[in-house]
Amino acid sequence: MYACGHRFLSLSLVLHLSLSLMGTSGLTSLEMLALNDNSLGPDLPESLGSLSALLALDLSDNKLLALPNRLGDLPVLKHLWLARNVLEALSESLAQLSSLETLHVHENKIERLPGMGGLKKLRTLTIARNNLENIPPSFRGLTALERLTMDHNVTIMAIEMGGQPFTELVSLAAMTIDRFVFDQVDKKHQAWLSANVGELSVMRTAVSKGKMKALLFGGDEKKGAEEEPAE
Amino acid sequence: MPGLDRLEALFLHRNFLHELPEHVGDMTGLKQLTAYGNALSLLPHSIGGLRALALLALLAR
Repeated sequence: MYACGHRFLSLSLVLHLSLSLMGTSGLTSLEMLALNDNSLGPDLPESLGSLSALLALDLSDNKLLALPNRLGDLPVLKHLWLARNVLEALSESLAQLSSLETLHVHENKIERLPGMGGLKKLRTLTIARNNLENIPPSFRGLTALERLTMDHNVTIMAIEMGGQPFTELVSLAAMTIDRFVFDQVDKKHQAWLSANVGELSVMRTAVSKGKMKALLFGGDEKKGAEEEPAE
Repeated sequence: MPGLDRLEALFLHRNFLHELPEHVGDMTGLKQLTAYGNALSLLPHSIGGLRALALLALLAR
């Protein structure tokens, strides 16, 4: 019993020590961290969120299955490269990265995107070659977006950005999109895209016949997938 | 690697590293760290300054 009490005391002392040390050590001056082309995964330490000066983080070509929740704590992060991992989702906290200008997440296994409306400075977004099921309504808030790749998402079922989905992306200058998606966009809006997006690439991605007329263009409400045809 | 708290850049890219040293978290002046093209499979928690917490986890076992 005595030993037990002693153990408790020492733990509480260590707890005090740990709290006082937090934020005083670690790489809090680090601006650029390149860890691409390794075997990192399936996850990363949450303490990455303490790299408060970080401007650029390259984690491409690793084995990441998930991202730390605290990644959203990086207050000045401008460039985040996550291409070619095995990510199935992006943490919701990503929406807090208000300084972010570049987000590369192409060639992962992402099914759902978090709210994106907070990324007011995002200029480049690559979400090509994932397993996306929908483009969320919050995409309309990406008003600084200049380059968007979204081709090779053959699982896509809904573009929830309204009937004229991309009109609010007023800075859009380059875009790659699947032919089966483009063909289902309202004709007027196709013309708008062709006229306003200087580099528009419409990709002939192989897709089942049913997919060619199965897309839902909606508003904010999440629609069911009952019309989804069999593959 | 103690005493490297004024080091501003550490280039470790394209080697055969399996881990980064725990002490990397002590290089508090570091602005650039490149370790791409290695064989890293995990990062030390100290990278974000959580060494004491790691110690706590160890003692709590």
